Amino acid sequence: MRFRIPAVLALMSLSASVMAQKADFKYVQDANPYLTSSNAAGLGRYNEPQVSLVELGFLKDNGGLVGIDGSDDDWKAELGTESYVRISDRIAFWGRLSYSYFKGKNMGGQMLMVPDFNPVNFIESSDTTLGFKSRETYSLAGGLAYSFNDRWSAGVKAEYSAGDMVKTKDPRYRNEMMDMDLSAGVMYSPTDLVSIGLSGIFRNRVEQLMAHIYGVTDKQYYAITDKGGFLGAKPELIEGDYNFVSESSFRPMANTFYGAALQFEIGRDVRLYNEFKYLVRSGYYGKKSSSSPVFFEFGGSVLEYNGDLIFKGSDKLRRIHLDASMQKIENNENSLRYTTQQGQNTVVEYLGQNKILSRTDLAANLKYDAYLGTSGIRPSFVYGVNASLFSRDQMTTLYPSYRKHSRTQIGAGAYGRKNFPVKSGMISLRAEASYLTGFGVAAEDGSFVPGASAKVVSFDTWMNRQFEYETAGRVGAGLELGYTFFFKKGMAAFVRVSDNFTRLLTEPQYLKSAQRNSLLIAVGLNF
Amino acid sequence: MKRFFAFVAIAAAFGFASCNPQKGPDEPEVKLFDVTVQLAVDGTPFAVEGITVDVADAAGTATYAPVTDASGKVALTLPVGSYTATATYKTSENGVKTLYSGSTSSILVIESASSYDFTLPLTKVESQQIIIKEVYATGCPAADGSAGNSDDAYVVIYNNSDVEADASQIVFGFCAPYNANGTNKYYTGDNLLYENENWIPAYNAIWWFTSNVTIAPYSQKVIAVFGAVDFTATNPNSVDLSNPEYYWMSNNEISQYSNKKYQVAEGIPATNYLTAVPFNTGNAWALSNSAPAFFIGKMEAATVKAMCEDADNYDRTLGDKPAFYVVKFPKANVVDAVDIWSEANVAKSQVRFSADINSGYIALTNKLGNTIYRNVDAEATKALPENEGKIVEGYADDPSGIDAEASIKAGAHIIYSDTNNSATDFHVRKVASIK
Repeated sequence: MRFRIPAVLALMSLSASVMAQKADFKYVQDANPYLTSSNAAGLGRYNEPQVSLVELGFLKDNGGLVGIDGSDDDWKAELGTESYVRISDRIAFWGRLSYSYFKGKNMGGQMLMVPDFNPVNFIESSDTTLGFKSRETYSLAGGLAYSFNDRWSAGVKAEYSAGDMVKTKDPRYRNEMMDMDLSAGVMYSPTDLVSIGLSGIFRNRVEQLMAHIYGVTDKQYYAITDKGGFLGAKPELIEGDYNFVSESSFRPMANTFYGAALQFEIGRDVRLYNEFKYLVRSGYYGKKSSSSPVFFEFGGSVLEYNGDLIFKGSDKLRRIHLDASMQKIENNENSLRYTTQQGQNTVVEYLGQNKILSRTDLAANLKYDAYLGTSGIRPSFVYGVNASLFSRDQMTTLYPSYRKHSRTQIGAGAYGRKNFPVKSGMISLRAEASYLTGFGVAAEDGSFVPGASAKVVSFDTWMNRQFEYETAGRVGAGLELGYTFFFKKGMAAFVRVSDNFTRLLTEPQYLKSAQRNSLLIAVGLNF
Repeated sequence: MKRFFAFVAIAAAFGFASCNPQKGPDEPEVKLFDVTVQLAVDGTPFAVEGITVDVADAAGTATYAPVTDASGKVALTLPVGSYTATATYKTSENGVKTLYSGSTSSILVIESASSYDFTLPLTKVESQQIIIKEVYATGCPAADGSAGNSDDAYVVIYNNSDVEADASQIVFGFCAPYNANGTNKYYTGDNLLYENENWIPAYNAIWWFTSNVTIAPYSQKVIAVFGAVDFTATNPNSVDLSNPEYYWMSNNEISQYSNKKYQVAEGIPATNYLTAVPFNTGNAWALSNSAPAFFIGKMEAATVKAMCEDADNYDRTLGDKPAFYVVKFPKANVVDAVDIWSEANVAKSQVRFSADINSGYIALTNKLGNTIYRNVDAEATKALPENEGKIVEGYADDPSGIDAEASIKAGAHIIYSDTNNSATDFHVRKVASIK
């Protein structure tokens, strides 16, 4: 489900323009790649007065074809609004606001909100303690571009998200998340056909985790620390403040990114847009103080490319999009102990660090979209194909033991949407199909010291289920039916219902079931 | 078309530039250090070849077992971390079986250190006739799912020899502080204040028998710590301490111990009661229900009583109020000891006995009905001719593999391991032995 969140309503004026494509939000973004780049200075290149979207959606998912951090029965509601507005000849503005609420049954396993984002994770040791999880996310974003003259412009962008998640069955845990993304950039356009941009980026994401046992029985609950590839030491009791997951205080998983991006665009009717982005990542887990430990410290880099080749005709638009990324991360575990000098408080003494994880992720997506009949209120026919590739290689070292993990996922899809004009409105029918497969080695274990006794523990129950979810071949199909009503002043109201069904090609060995169904109902306004 | 190919070329260049294959398994990415551990006795290198030194990391991910060279030293390569080294050496000196044992948690491989040479001091261990066989002090789950308790605590002492033992002067105590993970004011840096003193800090009270007690060869005495009743009547997970042969730490004659919760079964005679003189506050003996440092000593009752009543014998390091007084119990009178830690708090725990009394620790999780039980000395037990065909093996929790209780039921005489090292002398038994 992809929701767009509207900007601050007070800054928007409801224009009476009847330009058709500006009311189709996705079309506007696909035709103007600068609008979604990290350089807010590019906002000024969109010359229409305004395009806005308000959308309310409800998504229902069912099926056991889900990762160990997911639910086989969940629902999500989201309200959002987003807008691009040209305030004057020199100032352009973008804003987005959204709220989402998610609730899922039979959830447990992973404790962090986005497990794959982190180099280390904490997992409930047993799959018999599943329960309800609920998650809320608030997001507010805005960007401003100012054109000094025909050639130079500058812009700033800020995105702020806050969220929380709770599990309502022992072992319970609470998550509180804050994500702040800031960028500032400049753009130089020597002619109408060429533009070069440079932006600086800073992002800070902190997720705090705390566990709690509410039950009064003497049942013991354990957490396992996945240091990479579901390998770690023995499970730790969820009790007190001395283990990785604390029962008495929040511990932060902090990530900071800083870097820069370079944009380059050339052409008019045939346009080539490129953005190269490089970010340095650093982070840690634990509370930084003299008496509480920082358990892990990690760092890495992100290299991204986004490119669009756009062919714009009088009645059509074709777009080839390629995005690719390489993310590297290395995680170090601090070796520490607690010491107490006579008459003083207990403090943490660090002995040094051991590198426990090195990981490289490669990802690429290639898409082709064609919008036909773009001279009408809406494109009469839209179709596209896409292909994706994801590859992970990682090495976990808990000396003298090590584990290598690798996987590759390949996907492909196609879709088509036909819009049928009716009196004062339009009926849309969309169909799509997808295919995904994967392969790899979940765990290749060994020892650097033959004969040494290893006490590492492999969490196979979770590992096998997650690996099957990531690599098992599957096909998917979806249908969407929508109706749009056009008001006289350029505003359009829509409602759409879609259903997507995915099924594994063979019966699963570890997953609860082989299929998953997603039903989406959305209503909204374009203006 | 040219722009399309330029687009694809940029993308391909990006793809090739991004490849970075992982290093192979023969190239560990952790920084390693060359570490040596020298065995020593009374500060002198113990130059004996062939002794296995068990080295385990605090993170719980690896153990190593290098063997000493002719100089009594082992060499190994380790990453940064905190390690415990333990060694036991059995020999014969002047025709007498002699045991050397030692353990140290001071193997700290620090990244910025200037030296990675460590010493493992060994102590000559005198085998004791009476030993601590079992400490069941951390409680069990309640029958109805509500919170359990540890009122059913008991300890077992055992005659580890083939001659009758006089246990009349055996006394029972625990070492301060209550729990291993509590702030321990007896530590300064890595060292215990009484490491080289002739006493250990006994806390709360010290118990003694009120009648003569003898223990037959390879036999035991069970002492109920709090209540001596049949706890299984209300909780099947608990134990039955109402056996008339059992002993009981009685509060009856101790006016300060006014807690009437702890009762005794009618069948246990008064001659089986123990008594004590408390030197702290509190209305009952406060043996920890998660991590006690339990010991037994040998001392005449009158001497114990006088020692506990003499304020000049109190140590006030923990505080200057009665709640913090400890009695300096002479090391020379300590017979046996075991340092029990809470599994959940191992990272923040410290040993409480000096190395000449006991080294190492044994950790367990409380409220599960588990108990600390001594390991069997397989070599000595199997050497007894009367044990032929009676030893039951296949018990994985004991390093010897011998199921002591099953073997005793089959008529075997068990000799337990006694190296003064809680880590190697004890294991966590899932079920109390008297169940």
